[in-house]
Amino acid sequence: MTWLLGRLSSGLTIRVNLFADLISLFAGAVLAARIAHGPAGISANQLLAVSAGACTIWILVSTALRHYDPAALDRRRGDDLAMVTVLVMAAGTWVALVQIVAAPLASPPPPGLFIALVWPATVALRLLAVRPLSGRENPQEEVLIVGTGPMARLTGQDLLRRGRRRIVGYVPFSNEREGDRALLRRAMQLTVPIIGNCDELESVLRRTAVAEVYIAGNARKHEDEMQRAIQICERMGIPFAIPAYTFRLERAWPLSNRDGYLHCLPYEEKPWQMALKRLFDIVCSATALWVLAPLLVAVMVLIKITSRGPIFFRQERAGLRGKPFTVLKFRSMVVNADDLKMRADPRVTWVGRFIRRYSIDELPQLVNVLRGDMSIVGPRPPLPEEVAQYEPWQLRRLCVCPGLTCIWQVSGRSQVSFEQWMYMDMQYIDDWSLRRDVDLIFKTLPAVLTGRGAS
Amino acid sequence: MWISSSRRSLQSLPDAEPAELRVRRFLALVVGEDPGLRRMVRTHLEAIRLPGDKSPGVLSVMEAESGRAALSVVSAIAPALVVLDLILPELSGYEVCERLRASTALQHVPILAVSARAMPEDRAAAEEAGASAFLAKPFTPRELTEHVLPLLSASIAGR
Repeated sequence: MTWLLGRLSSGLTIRVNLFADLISLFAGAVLAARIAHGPAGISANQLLAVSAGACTIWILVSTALRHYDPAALDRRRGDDLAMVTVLVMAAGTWVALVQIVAAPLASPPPPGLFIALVWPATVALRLLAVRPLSGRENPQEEVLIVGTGPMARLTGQDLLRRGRRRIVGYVPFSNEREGDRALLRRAMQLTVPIIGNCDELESVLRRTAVAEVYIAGNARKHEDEMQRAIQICERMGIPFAIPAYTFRLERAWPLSNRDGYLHCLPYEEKPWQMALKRLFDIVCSATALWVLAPLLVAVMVLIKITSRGPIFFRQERAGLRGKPFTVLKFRSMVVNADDLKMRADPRVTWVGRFIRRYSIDELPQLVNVLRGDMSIVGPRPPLPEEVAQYEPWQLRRLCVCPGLTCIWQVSGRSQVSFEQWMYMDMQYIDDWSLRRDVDLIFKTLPAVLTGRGAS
Repeated sequence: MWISSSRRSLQSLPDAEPAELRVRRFLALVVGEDPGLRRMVRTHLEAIRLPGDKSPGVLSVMEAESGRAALSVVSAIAPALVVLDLILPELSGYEVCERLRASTALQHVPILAVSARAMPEDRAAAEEAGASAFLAKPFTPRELTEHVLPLLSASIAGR
């Protein structure tokens, strides 16, 4: 079937996978109840409770297992089978609990039948559809490989074989042979450019947004340059990978063995808290948009009738890893005015002055949060022109998802110097935790509601 | 330590031509700890045919179960191809590779390295030790043939 489809957008199969799994849980519960007790066996409300509980457990356990993380598709088939089985058993346990508790009163779906229906469906979906189809997705992440020797060539071939990664280029070490480069070109069929040299890594990384840098050298031959490459990646906040073992291993295996590399992030990974943060973002932005809908509509009408021009002000900002995205704001100025921060700006409309005072002009960014371009808490997304002027260490603030509010916003806002603001963002990235985010939200709310410090 | 000479298996001979009359023209050495793997590689190497050559039976195959056994015979038999499992007891496959490359007589012998470890690190290490090609275990007969043929053609052309 796959040859009928073109390239799929990245991350699509895994999202469809989650959606379809939740539907099969629901369908499994309905079918099991029907088969066991006939059409009149269980009320719609009870059925909804059973399947909602099963879905909740499924979501929690799959988050813990990182089952819907695109990286999970690198797992072996057998591991994936085990993951799905664990998930089905967890949901089945819930159904069994419901049966124990509710059996005397109602006739809930029998857990054995539920598992017998759901397990084959979810396993087949994962192994026969999602895994093969994910290979048809557009590569999700762009990577740069440092080195052109055997390690770099073999790494490139390995990444191509695994899919999901696009190699944007190779940056050679200074003491590599031309023969190796020729071999590399032949192996990659001239599709991947060899860019500059290792000394220019910083400027290469400035020009191209990459998700990860593979430092594919031999530590015995390229020690100094590898160390320098690591330093550059660290300072710029770019994830990188170094060979997991430089020494020849014959029978011993490194403990973490995904692809022979040790993967390093610019911040400490807290997968549970990160997943919760995204969940929190989705729930909060959706709720806020729902609750604030009357206000938003009123402001939209006001802007439209009081001044000529569009309701929204769209602006390109640098997002995660510097990838540009469009930020939405309510227009607070007359058309054709640039976004300049001045205390008494004549170009600001009277509606604009009001909505700026209470930061209402920023509210459409909740749509950006819902879409996943932004988060509620995170460093403010800069303009691409500002990023071009950044010092290398300042680029590190782009290594996390940008947000509506951050330390800077709750600390007197516009009165802070640029340098201090950058330090605050770094501090936020280095000490991030979910608890800290919650603190910042609680500090932001009064600052916004009193209009203190808003420009 | 033992070395067996090629037993001609009837399955590998398609025609009515008696096995005893067949002259195998080149020697291949298979080095590996696992007798099953050696047998599998031997069977397929014996059946291999070069492009444009109608009759199979280009290769006679010798087996060695350790690196030391391989090194003790390799200079005497001057093989046209070595299939070398990198994970060997005692002397490692990498060392065997390096020693072959160090000797003037054998430095150009094509070596197909075979290993269950196929991370970029392992492949790079094999290449640096002097292996001509790398084949990850488990492999199919077809993959073996695909890897062996170019090595063998080059080796024969170089003689």
